Amino acid sequence: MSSSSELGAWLLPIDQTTAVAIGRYELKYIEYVKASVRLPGLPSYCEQGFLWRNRFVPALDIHELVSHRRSRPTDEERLAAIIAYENSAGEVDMGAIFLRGIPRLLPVRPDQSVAVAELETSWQLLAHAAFEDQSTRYPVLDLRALFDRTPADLLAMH
Amino acid sequence: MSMTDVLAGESPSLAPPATAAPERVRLDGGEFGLLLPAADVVTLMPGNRLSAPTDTASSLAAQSCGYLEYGQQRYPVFCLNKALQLQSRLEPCHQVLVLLRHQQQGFALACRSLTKLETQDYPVYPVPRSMSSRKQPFSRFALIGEVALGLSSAADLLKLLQVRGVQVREQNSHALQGAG
Repeated sequence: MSSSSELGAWLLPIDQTTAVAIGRYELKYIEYVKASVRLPGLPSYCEQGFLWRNRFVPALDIHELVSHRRSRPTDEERLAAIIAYENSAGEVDMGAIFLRGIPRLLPVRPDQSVAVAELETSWQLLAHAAFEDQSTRYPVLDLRALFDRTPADLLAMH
Repeated sequence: MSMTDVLAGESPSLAPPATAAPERVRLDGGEFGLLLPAADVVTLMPGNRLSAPTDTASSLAAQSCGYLEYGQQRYPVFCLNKALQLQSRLEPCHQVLVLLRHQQQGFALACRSLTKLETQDYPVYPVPRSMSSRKQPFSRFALIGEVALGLSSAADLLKLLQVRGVQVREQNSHALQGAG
């Protein structure tokens, strides 16, 4: 396996013009979610989750989190990336990110790396790395920071 | 169950399960749902039993929808929206007032309906960290018919009210000896 393939990243479209990246081994499945359930008392970006293979998977709408704008309310089928991350207890846990398009695997070279501080402010606290491809900068999401924090703790960072 | 779980001289078959789940009822809050221990429910009343706050200057009056009278006592009535924030008026769908008790504290919650569960056999999940909030009166939820219902109690709801800045005063001990 070449070093370039080892550094591959998945680009996840979260709205019509924006994509975020996660490590190539962090994306486990892509699923159409037919029935999500909502819990009360939460910001809309994190109020949904769904049953998948007999486990409850929390889902995040990253576009809503960053834009502070609510996506169209929908009970329609939604595409989701099911991801795995290591939680603070050192266990592998799962979460989901709602998508607006099909993810794309992109080879990334070390010289494409850019400093997180060069990202837009709203992305700096959600990303633990970043890279540039064809003049577009992509944040690489810090999945533990997103899924292993309460919404209050996450929003307090902003 | 280990032998130490059984009281001396008691038949194992008569001993209650070590972790007997309380019988629960389903509270349909309109935009949210909870499962509450049936033992926490004192009584139900129609929404038209709600009386307007008398002391409008008090902080409790500002946070409640009013009060109801039961057993010669007055109990504050609260209404929660989807964000579990206190509302000063009943939602149109809230036609039932559920009087709840925890120890000597009583209060009512407005809801669409309160129904007995047909089954006590439902899957329960812990609330994931990314979906948890101290402003939720539950840390686990059940999935029944693709609807999430928080496993809550009168004590949990009192904690939520406290987080929202409400103090529910204690009542006379006889006042809450209702239908239970």
